[in-house]
Amino acid sequence: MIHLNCDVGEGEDNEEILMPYLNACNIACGGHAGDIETMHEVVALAKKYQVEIGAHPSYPDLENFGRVSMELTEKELIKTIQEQITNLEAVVSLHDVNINHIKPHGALYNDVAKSEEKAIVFLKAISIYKDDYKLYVPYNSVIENLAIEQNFEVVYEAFADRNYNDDVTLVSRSKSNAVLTEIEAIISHISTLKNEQKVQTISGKKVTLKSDTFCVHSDTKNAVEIVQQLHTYFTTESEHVTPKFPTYTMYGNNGLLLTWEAEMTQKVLYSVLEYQEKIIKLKLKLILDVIQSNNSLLIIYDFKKIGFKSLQHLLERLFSLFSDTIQLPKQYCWEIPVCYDAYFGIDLDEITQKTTLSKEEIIQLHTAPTYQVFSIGFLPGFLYLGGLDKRLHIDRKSTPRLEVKKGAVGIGGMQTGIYPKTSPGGWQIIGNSPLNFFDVSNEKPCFAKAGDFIKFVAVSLEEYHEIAAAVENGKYTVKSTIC
Amino acid sequence: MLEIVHSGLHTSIQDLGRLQYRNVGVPVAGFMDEYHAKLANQLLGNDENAAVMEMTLQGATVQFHEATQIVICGADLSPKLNHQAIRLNVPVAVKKGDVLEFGKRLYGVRTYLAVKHGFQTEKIVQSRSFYDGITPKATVSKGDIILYQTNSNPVMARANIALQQALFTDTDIHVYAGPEFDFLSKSQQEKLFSIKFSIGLNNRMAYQLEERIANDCPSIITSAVLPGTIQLTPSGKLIILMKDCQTTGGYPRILQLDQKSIFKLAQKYTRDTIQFKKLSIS
Repeated sequence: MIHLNCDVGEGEDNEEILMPYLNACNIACGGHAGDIETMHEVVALAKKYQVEIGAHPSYPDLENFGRVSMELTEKELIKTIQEQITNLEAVVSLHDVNINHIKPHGALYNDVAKSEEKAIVFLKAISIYKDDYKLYVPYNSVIENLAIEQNFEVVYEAFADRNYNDDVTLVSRSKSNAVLTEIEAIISHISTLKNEQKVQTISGKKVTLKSDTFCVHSDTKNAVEIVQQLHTYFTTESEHVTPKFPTYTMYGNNGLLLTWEAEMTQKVLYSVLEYQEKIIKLKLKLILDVIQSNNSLLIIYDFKKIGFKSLQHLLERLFSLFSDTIQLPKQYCWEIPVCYDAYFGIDLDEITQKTTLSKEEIIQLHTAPTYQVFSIGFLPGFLYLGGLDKRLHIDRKSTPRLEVKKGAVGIGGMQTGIYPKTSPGGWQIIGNSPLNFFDVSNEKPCFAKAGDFIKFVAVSLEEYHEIAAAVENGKYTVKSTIC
Repeated sequence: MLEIVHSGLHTSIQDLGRLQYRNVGVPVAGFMDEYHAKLANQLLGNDENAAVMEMTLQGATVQFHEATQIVICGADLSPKLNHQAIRLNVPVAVKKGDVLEFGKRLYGVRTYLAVKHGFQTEKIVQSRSFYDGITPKATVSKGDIILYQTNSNPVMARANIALQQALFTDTDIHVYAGPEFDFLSKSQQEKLFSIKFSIGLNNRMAYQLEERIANDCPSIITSAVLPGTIQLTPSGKLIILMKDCQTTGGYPRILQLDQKSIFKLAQKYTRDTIQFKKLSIS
């Protein structure tokens, strides 16, 4: 493994993707970029993914993104550096985390590496933090020597995506070969640094360069791809086990479909629901919607922020980071009154003829199991139920009805269900439930959710009408127990 | 408010639809031709989600009971204000008592009437989009009163919007491979992109295509579908799901339209032909 760090909170808005791959981040604290809001957002992400937090002070120059040297008085420079670090300290304390290190930004980073005068002032500015925060420095630099003399704890930083001159300074950004973007070149660059403590400079020489951490610039155009590929490359085999399920399939340009084994079983359902819960809990801004079904989740994402491959990589990473099983939301068992009277059970006769079952046996077999809601679809509030007794597996009607009444309870092949509204349908109708399965006046229009259970309870015609009246008046509460 | 004097063929109120309730089986609904509906809102300075009136093939006749600004975008159904022809894509101020009607269909299928600040029909499950079973009605009918905010300001001069004729005439429908595209054999896949398909039955739920593809694919366990998903049915016919489609389905999802092609298809009708062009995602 390698130690990766990234400059963040600089307005690229890709931290949500980068953070799960980083060991450390350097957070812009108002000098060259960043404000209280971005600091909060990035610190929260760093906390979530246990990423070391660094303060990333700069010359106070939003306009030039801190990439131009500034001539400030000693007093001015000290004041701005301390203010910037204080900004971040205030934010991290609210999140109950700590700053790990300080890393100067841009022109300031380059200046303190070369100029003794600037380095002395900078170290003076941060001397109050000496015992608490580490300092990122480039190897063989002016600041490195001074910092060590003054007993700062230094961390050697090398740049994963930058070329080096023979004197181990960075190739100026004004030159075309300053930044490395080819993944292979970056991997080879890092491998040399890691294995030999040397860097191959632009003249082809190998020069000693110590590195404890590698920086990838979050504003390099393929920063996400670089970080993901580095993670894949430098993660050892044993850490890198991709489970067989779910599989990842592209669905249009903004859909990613996760699919599990092609079976409607509780094992698969719970995997699906667990992944759904994890995705929802992650609260990723780039995920716009998650649509759950029996053995799949369709993730609708913001294709302007992330591509399919990066999203797959990210999700695999997140699922491996958060591989512990999590608690599913509370599951309820709902008691659904059904009247199986011949008035509603218009196909009961047909079923008694097709099978050897009596009406009483059909009702008994239908009310005996506790069914599980696998998903909701087809119509608003239509529950896909698992658990129908094999003896009640009856083919759909050869000609569908143009109108099946709201509340109709039917059997179609291996499934049973309730029509939440009057609609055309081909299922064998055995009864009717007086409940509303989709009520637009409720904040939660459908009381049940995937994972919940359903128990059908036979009621008489008289009871049916009583319940229907109570439902109509808004005075009926569906009976439920927590499972 | 305005009054529906004549309902037209299939006239409904639509906004961007319901995106967050698919997990309880609620269809997205919303503008069929999002491009022209959003354009109409843009021309009036409305929010892009403001509710507009979507008319299909034959326009409705409406009488305005309050002053507002209106604009019509989409299919050219020969709009007339107080019997005077008015232009598409050009906002006009209307006064109390003005009557908007439509005549001959010149091109396109769906046209959008937008009013300043949008129609104020009831928001149900976070949207004003009509959908049977969610909203009380699926279409407007004669005598219905549709609310909007009075606005007597003159129309702001705006740059002319060039008609995007290609959105109506272009027969290319761009598609990505769907999740079950690989269920198809090479020759089935090739056929999809070599033949022209003609449109059969169509409505806000789906467009059925007439030509058949030999189908020996297994069905799948019911899974999510989207507007723009092309399902291959057991008969070999293709169904292109549109905005009012169900949230789940069990037929193989072989292709997926890109957004713009959904808008283009919404302006096509029975017997129009289309040809699929494959897109790949970088």
